[in-house]
Amino acid sequence: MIRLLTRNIVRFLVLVALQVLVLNNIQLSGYINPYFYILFILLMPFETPPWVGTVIGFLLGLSIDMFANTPGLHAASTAFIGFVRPYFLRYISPRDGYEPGSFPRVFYYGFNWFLKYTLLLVFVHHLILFFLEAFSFASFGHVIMRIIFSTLFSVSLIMMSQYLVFRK
Amino acid sequence: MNNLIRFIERNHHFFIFLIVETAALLLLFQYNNYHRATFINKLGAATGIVYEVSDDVVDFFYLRKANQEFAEQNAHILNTLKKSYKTNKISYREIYDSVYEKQWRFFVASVVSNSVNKQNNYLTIDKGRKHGVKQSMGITGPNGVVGVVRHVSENYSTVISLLNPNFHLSARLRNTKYFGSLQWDGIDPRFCWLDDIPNHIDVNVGDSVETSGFSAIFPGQIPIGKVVEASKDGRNNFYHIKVKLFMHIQSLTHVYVIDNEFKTEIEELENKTITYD
Repeated sequence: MIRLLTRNIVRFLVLVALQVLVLNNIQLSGYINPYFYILFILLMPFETPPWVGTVIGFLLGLSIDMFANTPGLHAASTAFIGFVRPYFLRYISPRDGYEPGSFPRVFYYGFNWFLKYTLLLVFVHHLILFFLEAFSFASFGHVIMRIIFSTLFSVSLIMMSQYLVFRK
Repeated sequence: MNNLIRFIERNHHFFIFLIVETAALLLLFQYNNYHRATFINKLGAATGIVYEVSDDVVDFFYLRKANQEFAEQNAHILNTLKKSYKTNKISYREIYDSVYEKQWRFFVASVVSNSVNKQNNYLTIDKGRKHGVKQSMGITGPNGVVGVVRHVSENYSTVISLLNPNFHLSARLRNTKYFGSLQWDGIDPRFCWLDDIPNHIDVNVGDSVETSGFSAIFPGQIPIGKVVEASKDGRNNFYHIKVKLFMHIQSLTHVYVIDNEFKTEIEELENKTITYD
């Protein structure tokens, strides 16, 4: 239990640092902003109480906001995926449910399941994030383009991380 | 109360989300200039509908401005009317060029303050010495006499209202041309009294009363009102005629100041006559 907590705290700090120090400086062709930090939400244990997920999402987003100087923007979108994650998990659960002691990872539930899970949550997150950022439906097409490309990029990064870092 | 607590407890996940999300959005709108501005703009679009409706109502009040423009135009037209010119015809032969010389000059003024409910009522208009207003110039409204200029300052003038018992207006009956003096009794701002009409002539209810044109202040034939009641005074030989005014001085917004170009000439002549007789 303590080990789980420490691992999560370290992961939190590493992901935030990676996001604000490296990935926030990447802006490819004006469309693509990878947001890798939500991996933390994705990797939270199945047993996390739903409300804890929401609050952690808020705090995670807020930490990113502190550095990106956009108070509330990431907090709002990350809190939202923290909120919907339990419903998504229930929606895409395998027939036998989730095994105790397992984590939402490629290692446990396979590439397809994890891709579906990641795509859904990352897309929702980016949808809210980019629309909140643009805060208008005037440049609808442009915002949609950004959402799609950034989602693809973020999802690729997260999938890669599953093979490079979180192998087990 | 217990039910409420149980309801919140059961849906604690949702309520916590709601609180957290509200906090995030508050932060967003509070600390991001762009979002705050856009949020206020969007709010503005919603309130725009309200303003649109209120604009329609407000437009109604701008009719006042439109009125002003029309009144100015009207003054201009009055200036070109034949009755603003004094005829110089001295022969019976009709000569159609340079026979008219301008006698009455009209110009428009806005009413700045007005009263009808006092005993001695005055108006203030927004034209003064600078604009050519002089003491005892006549003031008319869209349909009748309003008063006479009392005091003039640089930019404003006070007008002694028809609704002031100190003001006597030379008025006559349109059909018989008998003239008398019109005066307010200080009671009802809709009615004035016409005195000094000899009681041997016929006065009917509904007869028109107009200015006599004898005063050098007002041109003749400006309508004033209609006779509503004509009683013969027992003691003397004159009618006491109640006249309903056409002019609603209460709702007056614009007036015409009337300048008689020949006034000094007429007055000088009359004074000379009185002095030498």
